[in-house]
Amino acid sequence: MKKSIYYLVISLIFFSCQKKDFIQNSSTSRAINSELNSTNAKLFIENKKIKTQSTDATLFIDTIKYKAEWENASSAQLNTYYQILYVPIKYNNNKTGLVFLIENNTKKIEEGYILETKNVISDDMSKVVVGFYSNKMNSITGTLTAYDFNSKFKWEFGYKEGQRLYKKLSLKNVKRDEVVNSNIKSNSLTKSAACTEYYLITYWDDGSIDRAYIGTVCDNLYPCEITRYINPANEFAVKAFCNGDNAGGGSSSIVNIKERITDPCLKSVVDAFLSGAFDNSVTQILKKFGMNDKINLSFIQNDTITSSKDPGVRLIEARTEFAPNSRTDQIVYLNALAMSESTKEYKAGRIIHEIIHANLNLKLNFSLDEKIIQHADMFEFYMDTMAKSLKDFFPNLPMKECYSLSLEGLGAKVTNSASFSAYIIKKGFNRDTYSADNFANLAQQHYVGNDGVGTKCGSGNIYIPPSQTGVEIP
Amino acid sequence: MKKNLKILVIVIFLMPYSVQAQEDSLYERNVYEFINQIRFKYLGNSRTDTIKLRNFLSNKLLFQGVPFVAFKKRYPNFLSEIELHELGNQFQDDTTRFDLRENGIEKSNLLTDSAIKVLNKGNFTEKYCTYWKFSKPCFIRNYTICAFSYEFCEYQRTILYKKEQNKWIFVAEIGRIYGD
Repeated sequence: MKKSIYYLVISLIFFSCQKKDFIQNSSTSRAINSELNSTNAKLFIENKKIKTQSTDATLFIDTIKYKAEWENASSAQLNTYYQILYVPIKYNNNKTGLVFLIENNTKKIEEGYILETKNVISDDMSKVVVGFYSNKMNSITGTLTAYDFNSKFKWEFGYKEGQRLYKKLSLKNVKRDEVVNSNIKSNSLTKSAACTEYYLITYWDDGSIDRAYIGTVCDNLYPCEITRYINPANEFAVKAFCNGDNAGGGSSSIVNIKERITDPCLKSVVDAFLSGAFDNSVTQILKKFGMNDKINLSFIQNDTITSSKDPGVRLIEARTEFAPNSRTDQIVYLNALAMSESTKEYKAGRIIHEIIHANLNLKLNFSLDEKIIQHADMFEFYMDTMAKSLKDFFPNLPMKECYSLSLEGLGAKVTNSASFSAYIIKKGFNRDTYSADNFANLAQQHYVGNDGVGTKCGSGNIYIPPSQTGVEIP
Repeated sequence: MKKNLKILVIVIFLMPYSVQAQEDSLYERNVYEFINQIRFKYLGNSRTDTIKLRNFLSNKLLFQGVPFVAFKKRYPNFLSEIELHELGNQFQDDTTRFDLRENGIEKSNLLTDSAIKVLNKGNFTEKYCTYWKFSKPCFIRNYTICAFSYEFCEYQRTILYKKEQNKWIFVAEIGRIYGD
């Protein structure tokens, strides 16, 4: 018995020592990790400083380094692969800090930015940032705004009681070719061979989008950038500096393209037309068609729209009409429900079809009679360009599918015609019910979302040329 | 004996016509039963008022945009190859028109050829959005499967129905010419 107690005591002492060692090791490891993260973060900022060409930006980065409270940094696991490091900055009542996204294994910093918060109260901001990335903002009401280390605005997200209200992005739109006036609304901007336009875009979670045109810079002028500045209330604000001037500021015009789409899939397609490839899509399509590019368009989801030719009875996929009391502004109604199974390519085809209607509505004094003329016009003059526009958006989509999708929606009058028969033969189609080359076969498969055809929702994105993209949404 | 032989020859000679007449009558019965059922259930839901209808059924230009490849991919086992061919032949090869009996379709106003000619000289609405065009219902599997197409206002739709417990029910849209 005595011997047993002796062994028990020895064992307890042994395990007690082991546990202490483990705790010490773990604590030491955390400290080393934390130090490693901080060192990497400092290097990350230093690299940004080296890369910058501007003296102002260098000074800005130096100030950040000086004001950053590295000793109060906190970190939190985002997921298996990443962790967040948050470093408060002694400025703006501690509402500002540095955020770093760090890979767990390699400690490599994937992303770093300056985060300014409004009305966000938390003891551990790294956890708030994790909540932001995980879309779990609990009961937070406030905003998160990000700037890069050159003080350029990156994005802003607004929340009310944990629910996201909006996201705001800056969009840089580079035009590289001919002399154009591509701004849909403004006629007054001087354009030349290489201009860059800047927009501040707010995507409201009710589906609407506000686009504030901020400024344009052309050719060899200094780049026009959306930057933050400190307003009289000692808060960050956003404005554009172009060639040293405020090239837009508060008096900027609003580009009148609006979107009210709630269906996520349809929204992703419309957004691709409106945001990422903004000027390379709607206006570019209109230009390609030799059309008026100064149309005010709204894209609105309406899952109960019926045909104007059969009002109140037949549900349809899309319709374009003049806005109430306007003979210029137009609304493209899109029925998400009617296209719920369709591929993104199909939806894009419908949108291009409607954009052409919008333009033809202006050319022709719209009535039902002219609707059929519009389809005949569309068939006669725009098929090739429609197909190529689809190809631009979906580079992997075979041309034959682009054509089949473009031929969709022209109505029985056109498809009954001899010229339609001649055209489809030229494009390698036929009318044979059994044939895979039936002109409607591919479009129908996109419409019903058959497996192996096109891009299903959530399984890929429309191609947006890199030069046209704005900042990435986290 | 000679007289009996004569009668037999006549009967034998007329037999195919009699079988054909029976078949025609069976087809006709099924046509009216089918259209009257789906007329209210599927053609426009709320459209219960009198519709203007061409006074004949014809397949000409009414089974456009029906790609069987797409249908087979979506519903691989619903119809056999033979059945698809049977339907396809009816869509394409049947060029005869089926004149509708007055009052054969409930709540319909049958338009004569001359009335249609007048409408066709009118504007778009009169030409395309005044009256419906119905195809001949194409039956297979002993009148239990039917493909039917209609057109109104440039919009053409081909639908497959099946009969269950004496009721025609919608199976799938197998083709359409969309026009909005």
